[in-house]
Amino acid sequence: MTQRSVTHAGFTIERVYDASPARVFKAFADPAAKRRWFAEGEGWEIEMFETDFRVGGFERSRFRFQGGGPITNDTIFQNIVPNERIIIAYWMTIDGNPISASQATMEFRKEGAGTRLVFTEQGAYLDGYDNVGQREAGTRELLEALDKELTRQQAA
Amino acid sequence: MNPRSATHATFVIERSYDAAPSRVFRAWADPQIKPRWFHGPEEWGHGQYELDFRVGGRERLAGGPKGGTVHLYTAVYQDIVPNERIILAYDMHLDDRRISVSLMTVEFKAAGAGTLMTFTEQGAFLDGWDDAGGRERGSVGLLDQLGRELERQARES
Repeated sequence: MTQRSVTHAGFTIERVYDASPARVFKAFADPAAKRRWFAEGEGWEIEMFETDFRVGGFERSRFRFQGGGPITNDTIFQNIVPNERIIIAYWMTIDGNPISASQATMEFRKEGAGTRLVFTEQGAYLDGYDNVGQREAGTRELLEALDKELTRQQAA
Repeated sequence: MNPRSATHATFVIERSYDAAPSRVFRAWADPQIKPRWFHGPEEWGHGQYELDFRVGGRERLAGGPKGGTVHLYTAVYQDIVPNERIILAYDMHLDDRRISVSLMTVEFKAAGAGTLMTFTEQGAFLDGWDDAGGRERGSVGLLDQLGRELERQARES
């Protein structure tokens, strides 16, 4: 039987993007754009990515990394202030085991011609399957992928 | 309108109850029992209550003083381990203002014949409408009401 444990922790990442708050926000709100930077990537097989971007709407992703076990991410949109703020609650499993339940706040602040994104996660990491260090590292990779998406849009 | 802000804060409340973890857990899980203790001040009367207690299921409590501000709580369940753990995300509204979005973890551990319950809230308090101190006092009041419900059950059994 799994030894039950909960570790509560959090982190904040700030990142400046060379794009307006409206454009950074849109990369979260537009399902096709979000899929590109959030779900797709080398080594990732996406089995499902569905998003319903409105308060109370769900986003469900099912994927595997390099042929590994199934990973799930279920997200609910808790608060949306266009171009300013998104708050989500999300929970993840690997191989059917819950690994985390989290809340994340994304604030989009105008900075010069660009945007400072402040990402704050408050998490409960479960039963030794995940920890805040790994989650922060994974989130930094996603926010890097978002930068590439914004740069790609600029070039297109 | 208040300027937009999000204040992140966490608090933990520990409680010992003279009831087994299964009975304390049930007071959270059973849609008949939970509204007996999970409610606002008595003078508000009975609010509207709904609970779909499963992962991904939702919960809703609306109430308030007669003719006054509507206090709305809505939640979605993220993790349930029977008799051991519940994690949910919830938000609070006063009328149409969203004042907070929080993650709540409740852990149940056997302690002798009773239960040590640990309640952890990780909250985002929004746009200056609420703060962690007020929320902690409100949560203490609810857990007092849970204690009285468990005592009532013990007297009646």
